[in-house]
Order: sequence, then structure tokens, then C-alpha cells
Amino acid sequence: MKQYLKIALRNSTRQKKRSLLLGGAIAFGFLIITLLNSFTGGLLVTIQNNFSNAFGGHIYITGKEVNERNKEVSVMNNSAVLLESIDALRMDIASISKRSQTSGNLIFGTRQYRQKIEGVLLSEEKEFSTAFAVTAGTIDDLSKENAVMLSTETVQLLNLQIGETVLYKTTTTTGQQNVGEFILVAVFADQSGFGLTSGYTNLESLNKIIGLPAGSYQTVNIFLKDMASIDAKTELLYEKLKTKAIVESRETEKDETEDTHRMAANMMRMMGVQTIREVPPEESWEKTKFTIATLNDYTDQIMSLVEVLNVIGFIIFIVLMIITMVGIMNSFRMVMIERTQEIGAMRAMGVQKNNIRNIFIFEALIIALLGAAAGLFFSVTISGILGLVNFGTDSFISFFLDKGYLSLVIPVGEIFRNIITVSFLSLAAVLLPARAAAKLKPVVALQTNY
Amino acid sequence: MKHFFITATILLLITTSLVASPNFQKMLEDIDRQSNFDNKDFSSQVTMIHEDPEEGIDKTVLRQFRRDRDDMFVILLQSPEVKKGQGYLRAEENLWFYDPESRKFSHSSMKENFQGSEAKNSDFRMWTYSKDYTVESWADGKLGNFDVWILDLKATHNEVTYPYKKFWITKNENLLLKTEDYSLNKRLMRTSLFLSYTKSGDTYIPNKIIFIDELIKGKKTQITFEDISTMPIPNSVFTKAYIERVSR
Repeated sequence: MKQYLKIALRNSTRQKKRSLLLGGAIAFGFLIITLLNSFTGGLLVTIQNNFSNAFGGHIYITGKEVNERNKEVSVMNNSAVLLESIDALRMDIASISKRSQTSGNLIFGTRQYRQKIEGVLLSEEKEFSTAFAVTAGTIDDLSKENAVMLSTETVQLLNLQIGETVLYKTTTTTGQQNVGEFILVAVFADQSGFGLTSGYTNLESLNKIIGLPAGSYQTVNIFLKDMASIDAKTELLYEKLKTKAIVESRETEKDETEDTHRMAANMMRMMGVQTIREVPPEESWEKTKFTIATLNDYTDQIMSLVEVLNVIGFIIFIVLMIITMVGIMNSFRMVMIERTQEIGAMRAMGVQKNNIRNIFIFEALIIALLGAAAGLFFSVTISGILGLVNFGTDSFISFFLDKGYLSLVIPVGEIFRNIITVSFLSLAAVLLPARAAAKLKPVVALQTNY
Repeated sequence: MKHFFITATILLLITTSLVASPNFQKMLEDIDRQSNFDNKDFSSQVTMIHEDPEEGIDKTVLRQFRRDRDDMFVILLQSPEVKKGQGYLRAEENLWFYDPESRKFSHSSMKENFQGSEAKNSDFRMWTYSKDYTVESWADGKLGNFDVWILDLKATHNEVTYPYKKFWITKNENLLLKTEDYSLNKRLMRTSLFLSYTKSGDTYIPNKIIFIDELIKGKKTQITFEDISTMPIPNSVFTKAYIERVSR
């Protein structure tokens, strides 16, 4: 077998141009599909990370209550039952954050900038101070009254310096206008982009501005240790909480529009937009109604699109490979004709039919695998170069980037799948010429002269 | 005898103060009534000139249709070209914004600023000051050549946009000349100047208003109402279908 493998290797280098063209076609197809898989694989991770950074977790629990004027306001007063339910997941939780948030306008001089500000319970979020790349000031000062930490982009837009006071115009939980004053104590490098970067203050300072009592918060966000367990853990939390409090159903509404509205309203609450809705008496409730949302709820559609992109990419790859395989089949027919006398001589010297066939199959496999290896090499090189290009964090595509850089993941599983596909197709393409070569009668083959 | 004099003096003081103090609640009701068109429809051409120290000056022209008895209004933007076809519909306690690009209606709020100006969406509907505010204190004074009452108002509930307001009201016709709007922590946010009024039947309509942003120096919006009409407006105008049709 080793001997025939050597012959196949030697044969593949006899017609260098032809082998190069066939291998090149395979390399090109492999390069495209690997790049696409790298891109979509990186995209999935980047989108999930950007979303979880922007919203501060993998599972998001918001609360809403009906006030004395039958208006729905975003607040969570009886959070004890929620915390009890969350305790059941404690082994799977990496961190919990209890926050309030609002969306408003930062005003400095004649400049203003729309910004979501989150109030952080710093005494409980020990890891908060290490989660940011602080570029100016100190994050430790954030516990001071009216202290704020903003992103570099926001600070540049407003032309702010550390220690300066900036106005913040926003609305209370019931929709009244209010104006707060913040002192800039720290600046951090943008992380999520796409306008989802928040500013941060301590919980008490923000509560004062949005009219929440001291110690209250509007959302509880959970970072899980394993992102893959989001759906299972959310279901567990939902079932547990349902026995103790009113929880909005997680089942998809029959009416698609209703479902979209519900998700949009929840996202608005998570974005700090104080949504106030009149609640008809028949829909009213007492105490806090909880809503549980997950990272997957908001990224599922994007994920599906990415999956579709992968499938389309694979189909294009298969079509490309089939075209290449037609080329391989024709080339090996030519090879068979060119080497008829040689095959006759080998057969006369006692080489069996199977081995003649194997030499052809090995040769095709060598060309295909070398082509795939070349495609893989070029795709990894191009990915490496693209990964070094900074596309910036201030454009629409920034949400699909990891801090301005394309995240390209080497798709090991897909690479193996593609290698197997290429090998299988090469085998199928070469099988007919190989069998035809094996069937040649030694006497006839030796007499043949093209 | 001594007690009699003390009691009489107290009674006299109370009576004097009651006589001197006008009925401010009624004054607010008058202001609401004067600006509302309970039994009529109202339409006008509105020109908004918005000045922003960072973005410069821009002009927006729109057509407004109001039916106060049902708390409904329709606003159709006519210029600039980029905003042409956009519209607002206030109906059944909801405010809808129509975008002709996407051909979709999205939910909006009366508390939001209108088209990035200093005017709020709620500035285009009837006033309800008598329901939403009570008079906390008052003084009399002068504003330009006008003798005015200066009222400090406090919201009766926590859902109005501005929790505190200050009104300058003419003494003879109860016309609002100036308002100041304050935040929950009593910071001055906006000043509105009602520069002129036009009379239609029993109703006074402010036809030139300036809204001044007190947080950003130099930011203001001037609104002028022209072609004012109180002729009946067809019911079909206050519908989404109408906005879609005229926006094509």
C-alpha cells in the first residue's frame, strides 16, 4: 500500500500545472467556506458578548407595578421573592447585578448626547470595578454622590474633562421631567458599541433622579457560568418564581404583533426608557409583575440569520466543489489515456487491478487534501490580517465587532466537515476513471499507442 | 369686649383676604376653556423655527387638525422635504407616529419633544391645567405693559411632564402670557412666551409662541399658527388610513 501511495504522490507531481489548477480550484472553494465559517462563528460570539455586556447579563428580570392612577410603572418593590427564587440557581451563577436605569440627555454647555445611565449597587457588585478598561480618572470614586463614569466616545462628544459637572435631563419612573447633576469621575473604553454603551453611577444617585426610593432597583441581571445553559436555567427560574409571584408568561403569543410589542416594551425597559402604559382595570395586578427575558430571546433571530448564511455558504461550496470534481473526472480520464501503456506495463509486472485503482484514488485524494490544506492556510492568514484591522467603534457595524475588531473564530468542526466533503467528492469523481484504468487488459494496454 | 375685638379683627382680615384673592382654580379653568374647542374642530398651518447653537436653524411646516371633544389630533409634516409625509395621530389615548419611509406607525408619547424641538407633543393638544395643577402661591405684578397674576403651580399627580409651573396671566382677560416649567427638583427647564393671540368666537388662540430651553443656552423654538379655521373636519381625517393616503 505504501508503495502505491508513493507512486500516487509521484504521479501527482508529474503534471505540475494540471495538479496546481485542480488543487487551486479546491483551495479557492475551501478558502471561501472557511472564511465564511470563521466570520459567522465569530459573529455569533461577538453578538452574544456585545448583547450581554450592553444589558449586563444573560438573564434579565424586570419588574412593573400598577400605580394608584392605573398606570404601569417600571419598578420592583417586592424583590425578596425574586431573590429567593434566584438562590435556587446559585451554583450556576457567575454574578448578579441589581440596577436601575434611565435614558436621557447629557448636557454640557451647548452640547447634548442621548445616553442610558445605569445605577449600580456597588457594595454588591464587587467585580464591577474590574470589568472596565478605565482610561482616565478612577472607578473607586463612583461610590461618591452624583459621580458618573462615561465612555470615551461620550466624553469626546461632549468635550468633558474629569471633575467637570454635566447635566442629565431624564424622566422619573412616572414620566415627570427631572434634571440631575453628575460629576465625571472616570472614563472607560467603549465595549459594546451600536449606541448600547451605558454610563454608570451609583444606585442611590440615580434613584434620586428617577424618583425611586433609596435601596430600590428596577432590574436584576444574571451572568451564568455557562452561556449554553441560558434556556434551561431560565426555565427553572421561571417555574420557581411563578409559584411565589406574578410572572409574565414566557410562552410565545399567538398574535405575532402582540409578541413583538411585548418584547419591544421589555427591551425599552431594559434600555432605561421609562414606559408608562394605562392598564385597563381587568388587566390590573397587585405588587410586582416580573418579566424574565434572556439573551437568546433577543439574539435568536440574528442567530437564525447567521445559520442561514452558513447553510447558503455550504451550498455554494458544494456547487463549487462539484464543478471542480467534473474537472477532476475529466482530468483523470485524460490521465488514464496518457498512462495506458504504463498501466499495461504495471499490470504485466503483476500489479493487481485494485492497486491500479487505488493509485488513481490516492492521487486524487492527495490533490484534494493538499488543495484543502492550502485553502485552510490562506484563510487562516487572511483571518489573521483582517483581525488586526480596527474598523472603529462608532459605526453601525460596531455591534458586530469585538471592540472595533473582526472576531474570526477557526471553525474546527466545519473544517473537518469540509475536508470530509472534499475527500468524498474527489473519491466520487475519480472512481469511474480509476475503475476504467483498473479494467484495462495488460496486452491491449501495452499495444495501445495514442 | 377684648375678645370681641380680636375675633372681629380676625374675621375682617379673613374676609379681606378672601375678597382680595381671586379664584385661581376658576382662572385655570378659564385658561383651559379659552384654549379648547369643545364643540368645534380646529385646523391650522403651523410653522416651527428651531434654533440650536450646535445644529443651526431649521424650519418645519406642518398642518394640524384638532378635535378636542374626543381628545384627538392629526399632524402632517409638509416641509422640509426629508420630513414630508411624516405624521402624528392622537386617538384613543394613544399617540402614533407615521414614517412614510417604512410605511409603519410606531407608538409615541405625549411627553416626548416634537421633532427634536423644544415643543412637546402635548403642546399640540388641549390644555388641562385645571385638572393637572393646583395653585400653591400667587402674587401680582407686571409683565411688559400688562398687569398680571403670577401663579406658582404644583402638579396634582406625578404623571404630568413638568411637576411645577409658574404662570403669568393677564388680570383682565385671563390670558396666559408666559410660563416657566420646572423639573421635579425645581430646576427651570423651559420658558414659554405667548407673544400674540387671535380670537375665534369665544376662544383665544395663541398664534405665536416661543419655547426657550433653559438648560442649553441659545436653544429655542418659535411656533406660528396661521390659516386658523374652526370649520368641521371629516371624521376620516382622524384615522391612520388618512395619514397613509396623504403621505404618498
